[in-house]
Amino acid sequence: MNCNTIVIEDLDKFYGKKQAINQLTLTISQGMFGLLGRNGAGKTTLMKVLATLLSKQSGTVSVCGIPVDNAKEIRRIIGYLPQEFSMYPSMQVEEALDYLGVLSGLDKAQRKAAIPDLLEKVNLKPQRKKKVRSLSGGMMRRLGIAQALLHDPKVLIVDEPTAGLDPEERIRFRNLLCEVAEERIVILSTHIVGDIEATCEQIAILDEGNLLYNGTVMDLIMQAEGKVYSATVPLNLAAQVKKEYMVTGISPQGKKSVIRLISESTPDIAAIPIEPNVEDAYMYCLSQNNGGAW
Amino acid sequence: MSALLSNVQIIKSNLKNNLFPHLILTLLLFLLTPAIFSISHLNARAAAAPMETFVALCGMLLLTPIYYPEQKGVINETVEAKYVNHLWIIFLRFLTAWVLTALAILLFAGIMLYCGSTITGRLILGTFASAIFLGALGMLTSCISENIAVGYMIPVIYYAFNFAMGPKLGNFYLFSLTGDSFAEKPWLVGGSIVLAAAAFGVQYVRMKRR
Amino acid sequence: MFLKECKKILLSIPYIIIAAILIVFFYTQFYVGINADLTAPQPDDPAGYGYYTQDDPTLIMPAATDSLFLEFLNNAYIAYPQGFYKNVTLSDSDQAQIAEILSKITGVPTEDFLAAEKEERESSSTTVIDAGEEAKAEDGSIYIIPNNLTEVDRSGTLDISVREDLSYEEFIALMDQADKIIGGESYYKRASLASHFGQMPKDYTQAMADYEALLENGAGVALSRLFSDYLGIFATLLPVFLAVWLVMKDRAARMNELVSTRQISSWKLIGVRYLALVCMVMLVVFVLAGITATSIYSICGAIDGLYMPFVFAIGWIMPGIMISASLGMILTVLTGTPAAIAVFGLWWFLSLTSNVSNIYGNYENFTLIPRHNTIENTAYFTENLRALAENRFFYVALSIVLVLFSMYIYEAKRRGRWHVSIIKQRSNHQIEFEE
Repeated sequence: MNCNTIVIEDLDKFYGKKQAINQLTLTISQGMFGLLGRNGAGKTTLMKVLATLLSKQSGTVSVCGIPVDNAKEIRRIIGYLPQEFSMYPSMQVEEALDYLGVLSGLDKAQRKAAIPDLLEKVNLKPQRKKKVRSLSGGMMRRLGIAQALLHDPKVLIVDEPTAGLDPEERIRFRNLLCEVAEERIVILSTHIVGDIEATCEQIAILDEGNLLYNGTVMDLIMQAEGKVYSATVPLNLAAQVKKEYMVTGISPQGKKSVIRLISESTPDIAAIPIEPNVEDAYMYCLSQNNGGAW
Repeated sequence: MSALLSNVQIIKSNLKNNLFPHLILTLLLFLLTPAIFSISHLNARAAAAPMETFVALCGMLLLTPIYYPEQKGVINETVEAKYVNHLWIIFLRFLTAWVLTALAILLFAGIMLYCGSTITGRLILGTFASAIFLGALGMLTSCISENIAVGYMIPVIYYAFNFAMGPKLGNFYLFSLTGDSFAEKPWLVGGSIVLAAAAFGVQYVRMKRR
Repeated sequence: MFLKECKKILLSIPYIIIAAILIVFFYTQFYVGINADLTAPQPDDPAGYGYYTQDDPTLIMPAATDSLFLEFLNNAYIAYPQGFYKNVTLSDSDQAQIAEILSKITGVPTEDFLAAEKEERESSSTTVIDAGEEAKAEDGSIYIIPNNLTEVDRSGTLDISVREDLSYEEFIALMDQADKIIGGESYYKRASLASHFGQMPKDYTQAMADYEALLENGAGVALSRLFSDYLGIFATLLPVFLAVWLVMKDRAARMNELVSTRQISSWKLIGVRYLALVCMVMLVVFVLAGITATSIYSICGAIDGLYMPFVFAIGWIMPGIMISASLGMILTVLTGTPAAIAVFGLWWFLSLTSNVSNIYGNYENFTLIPRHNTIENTAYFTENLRALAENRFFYVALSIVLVLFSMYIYEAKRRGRWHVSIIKQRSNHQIEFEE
């Protein structure tokens, strides 16, 4: 069995009676893997199952050949950055990393070697003596990624790491993730399509616990070929167009609006076909699952 | 050896970052005690008043908050995904709090001894028994409710009931040494162990069942 | 929004605990005795008719003098500071002062008292005695510290009796002095003399007279006072937990960021929340007041019993709930920690224990928990009604001030104008990514 693979077969996860993941089958290989979906799609649930924070009802999940039921061994090889990362507020940054390093099973020498490099990597060295409570949102995320990488995990699971960050911070975060993905599996969940576009080759799309798509970004885009159009309409008609078609972008230009829309067949309004982007393809995929509704 | 060093490091870190404010509270409690009670030249029975009824509160102050650090924000998601089992961390905090409770009581007993009061081994053990019972009550409540305010509620109410109902509480009366009775103390120790074990059990099942 | 907050509180663990505790305490401490309190006494009741306090100098003066003398001989004085038993040992100079007081009371020279005490100290038959207990010395004499009329055998000790020309006022002043030397809260304190040395068993006639007076003065008022006394203890303590829980719950669920950005004003948010908290706790109190009202009326037909419990619930109990909730709120909003529990808990504890020696009527000094743990002592209630009213109004006013401050602090934090080192709001929009 390939050590750099996560294999998921027929995974079910319920919260009470609500099914959060439904018969999911997926294989994730080395590199950046994107997990896309709406809020409540099951992305966080899947990540928590992989991180052994949640138990599964049925199915099999193995990470580098280790069944996920063997929580202790799994936690040795995974690094997890939760959707809302926080740490003990009174700890200093360096202290927090040191403590989490102990919890990761690293001895003093290993922590002494790893921490300065990581602080450098995530650019938190100037803040190493600052208390956690005084860090900004971006700094907290960087601390989060640093603690996830501390023990050099084979798998890095990051749950919506760029939500709430401004564009410049988001770009730097993505670059960091790409860098670390060269040597390991990185699973990135997000509802920001731009994150996926910039970093991931392979993606999966979840919706209401079901797997809608699993493959490359390019293949996803190709599915939406010929379904995306651009129409220029007067401003006062834009609202009507929005009601009739799935609109993925509106750009006001003086007294007109340039509308980007998705349609199975040629729209009734004057529109020209255009090349789909990832966002278009994602919206198209979701709408297919909902019987054309959006 | 490496495991021992790790445990020491965990204890040190928790002492500094999580237990420290509660140690300060305990110190304040001790500073306040002589302002409310006389602590000098008391016989054994009279010495039980400040020890059992006030100093014993340090158990509640130190043991109740062992789950509190992870009740702020979602820190538990980060620490529970780590190699070292989170339940073990809680257990280390529990042991630390127990030891600190014992040391705190010994310290205060020493001060009272220095002030000329009669302090017996019975009184120290009895105070410890009351302290850990209150602490275990708080621990269990805090664990079940996942909220520190509720965690303190039950031991404070139980403490207040001991004033109102006194010996009617039978073997779980906290202030029995003020009436020169030690028979209740083994019950309190046993009760505290059961309550603490229940708290760990609840936490274990909660983590397993997620 | 008020109803939503009420619902949130109703379904919360702290509220369920508060309701349970109030109900249990109400039933076990107050309700079980209500029937006996309101039922006419029966002749030849084997259980007796209790005791009454008689402020009778002919009773009190010799008994108190005996007690002081015996405690002096043993240099072991009983006191109850903060309600707890304490055995006080005095220094030589303090003992000399007590001897002087005894001398002034009895006319026996001070030196004689000191000699007797010295002899007692040096003899091997010295016995430490607790009030009300019996002890036998080696020479066979019985030492008893009386708390009611009991003959004292003082074979081998000085024969003492109160000077005939000593007035009761002078006697009380001397006893007060002794109490201060002992350190306070002894049996010789002015307010405690009658209750310790003037107790007489009631007979049927007296019990019947008291019962008729109860009905005439208003059984409803008397029982409502007792109801408020009992319930006030925990109704004052518990709301602080609910307040802390309410404020911290939002923080734990990271709601504070969501709430902060909403349009709702801080004044409305805090105000409605506080109001909901007080109303929900009062709901339990009112239910218990209703049970009390129906019980009073059904047992003895007292009309005032139908409404007085509610009047007392609002006038006596509610201010305690208000101050507890408001202090809980402001300290939690300010610090983001459960420190309010410690602060208010201590205040409550000190108030409760300082009242222990005087639970049958104490509304003085703006005490947090006014006490009136008896259906009798109506005279005290009538004479001190104004003090009680001032006390309760004070706490209502203080509560409102604290809630207003809570609103101000909450608003200031929302707008980022409050920088307290304990708590800092983290802003997600800051870029501090340095190259």
